[in-house]
Amino acid sequence: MKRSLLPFAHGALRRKRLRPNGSDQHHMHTYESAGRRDLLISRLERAGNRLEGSLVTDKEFLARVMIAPTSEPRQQRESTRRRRHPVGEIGADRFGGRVQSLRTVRLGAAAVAASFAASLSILGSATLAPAASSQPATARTVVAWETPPMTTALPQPTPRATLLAQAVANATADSTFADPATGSTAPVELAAKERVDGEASVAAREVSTAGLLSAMAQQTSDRSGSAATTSTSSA
Amino acid sequence: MNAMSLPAFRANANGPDPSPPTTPSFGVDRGDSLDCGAFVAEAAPKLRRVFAVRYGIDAADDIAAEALEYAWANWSHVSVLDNPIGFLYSVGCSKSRRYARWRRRINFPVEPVRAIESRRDLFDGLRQLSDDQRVAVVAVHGYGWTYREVAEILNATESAVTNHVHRGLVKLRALMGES
Repeated sequence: MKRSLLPFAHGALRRKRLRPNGSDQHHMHTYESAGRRDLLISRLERAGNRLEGSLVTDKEFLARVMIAPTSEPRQQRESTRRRRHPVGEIGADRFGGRVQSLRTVRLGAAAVAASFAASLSILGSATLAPAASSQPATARTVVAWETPPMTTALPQPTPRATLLAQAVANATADSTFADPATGSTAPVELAAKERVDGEASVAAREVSTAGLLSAMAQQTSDRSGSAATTSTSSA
Repeated sequence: MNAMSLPAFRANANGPDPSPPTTPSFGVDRGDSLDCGAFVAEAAPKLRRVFAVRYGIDAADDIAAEALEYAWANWSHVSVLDNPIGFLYSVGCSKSRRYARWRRRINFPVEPVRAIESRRDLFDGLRQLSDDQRVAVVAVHGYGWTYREVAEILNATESAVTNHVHRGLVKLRALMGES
């Protein structure tokens, strides 16, 4: 007899099939296991609700993910991703947050830039805030803000400029200036006019030699009329 | 800018697009005006819930975000697929390796004591199921999704989902001591 003709599919016969332990399988499924099944399903339903409740809300998630990245070119976004320290890790290190949660904001580097700018303003680094910047804030610019600006120390006056300044201060009409570098001797007026080394000699260059010489001449005439010739030495 | 056109993210922090899809499919409306923003707004909650069951609640958001980031970056490729949400589920599974490495314990919320009818924790039992069985059981009986919806998001057939649910429930009953 073919297997398809066997009346196993018939409900009446199937109910009579016994399990190895002697219980009726169909009876078990219909009556006894139904209660246990509902209990398990109800627990699963509550577990599903609890899983959903443990996640962030959909709006919060979409706000984190969908931060209109069209303002940032794709090429720049790729270069940002390839950096040694991704944006999220920098933010996590700085603010003590989780790297995993902040990594999701890679889609919108502008949001990270905004958070950085907010933190900088909180820290009082007003000089580093890009208030006057016309370019949109990106992660690259934010990282640049972290680096403090280098302080350029004023250059110290060179010995030659110092000697020249002394010579100008004590000069008379026929004073000369011996250049310690070249050994040549030149009138003070010409030496003061020439461009000397070092930015600190700006004061010496700006000195009006004619006015200074007239003042010196007046002082010299006041000193008992003895026109002492002042010669500067390189020593 | 690359030759790949960037999709327009129209949806934002205001929440998903209020206009429901016209088709009853679990996925997105496959009309001509399918844009990335509407797709993300619709697919993100489902992906997050599925990844929460598969990899835990702490990694679900990140994995879903990475999958959606892939969709955003490759939208011209994803938008023409028959089942984009199923494809992104596979992408998320690939992206999850950094989170699920070294067989970390899957983080689930703790059942309150008053809700525990038996002495065995349901989430401990769920952890002992296979990934597919756990996802199928919770998606069908926990989230109330249909077999067809679960099959679409898992990129599997309905019969496969049925088998996962059945075998998962049998194993879960055995673990819960209800067999």
